Amino acid sequence: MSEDRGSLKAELTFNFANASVVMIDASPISLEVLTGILSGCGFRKMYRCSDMSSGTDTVKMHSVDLILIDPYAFKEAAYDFVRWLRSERRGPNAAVPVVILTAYTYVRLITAARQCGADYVIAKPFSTQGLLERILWVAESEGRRGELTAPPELVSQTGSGVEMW
Amino acid sequence: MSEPVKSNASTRGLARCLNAPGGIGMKDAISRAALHMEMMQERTLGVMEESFAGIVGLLAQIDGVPDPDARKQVHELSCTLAGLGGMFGREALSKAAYSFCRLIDMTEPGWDAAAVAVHVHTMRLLFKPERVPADMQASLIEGLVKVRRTVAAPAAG
Repeated sequence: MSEDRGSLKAELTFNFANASVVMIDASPISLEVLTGILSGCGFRKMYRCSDMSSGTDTVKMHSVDLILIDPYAFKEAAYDFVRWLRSERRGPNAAVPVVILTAYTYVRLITAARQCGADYVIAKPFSTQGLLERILWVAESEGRRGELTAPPELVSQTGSGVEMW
Repeated sequence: MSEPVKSNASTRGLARCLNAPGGIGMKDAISRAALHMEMMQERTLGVMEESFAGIVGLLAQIDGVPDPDARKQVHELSCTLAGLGGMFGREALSKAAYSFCRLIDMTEPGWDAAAVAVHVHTMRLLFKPERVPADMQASLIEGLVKVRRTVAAPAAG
């Protein structure tokens, strides 16, 4: 992360207390760790889903602001979920930022993530700062999907993020 | 990429949270998250140890080439280590576990027992990073990359 970008983020404040985030991950410990990190960042409304079915139900029942999903255990069903989400054009969550978090990044995953309409892929393990910077970036860019290119330093400096826009 | 979907970012979505009253900054968020991580450290290390023991246990049962189910389980457990290690002070362990996942995939449907053993021994060492100097950790990871290249060479040829 460049110093300029870093100082810009350092000045920014955020209050995620009223933002809803859905976490979909088959690993209970990963969900727990992610909950801890997001709690630290100020998120309070967190839906923890250990399977695609509960993730889909949650998104159908609630208006959400951010979806974090690890597709590792769900394979194609995870990408189908994002595709479905984006296709629900009148739905409240059609434009919600979707960030893929995964420990195993490989070419097919990146391609699948790009094609299904996910916004970002973040490789595990990630730091709180790395995750938060990307959440702030999607927050700042919201409503402009398809019009923006991520700042190069956001993608290349840490080596863990893969920009999808 | 599917067609862009527009949203009104100013009234809903995460954008409304930026510079909102009662907010915190990056430094505060990182400190608070670190406290949560600290509370989870012991439990997470326990899960990582269980995952590694699971890998060792499964490998002990493999005679020749593992069946697809055993291969999948070993891959999943290694992926757990790859994902969590670096969040709890074991970056090199994460890298070794990731390398192991790559090895499992690149040798499928075969199996290279020697390369697997090297990875498992390395992961065992890296579980206690305080006992392995940083330069040695880096050398170990470099070694795993070389092992994968060696394994890949005959397959490519």
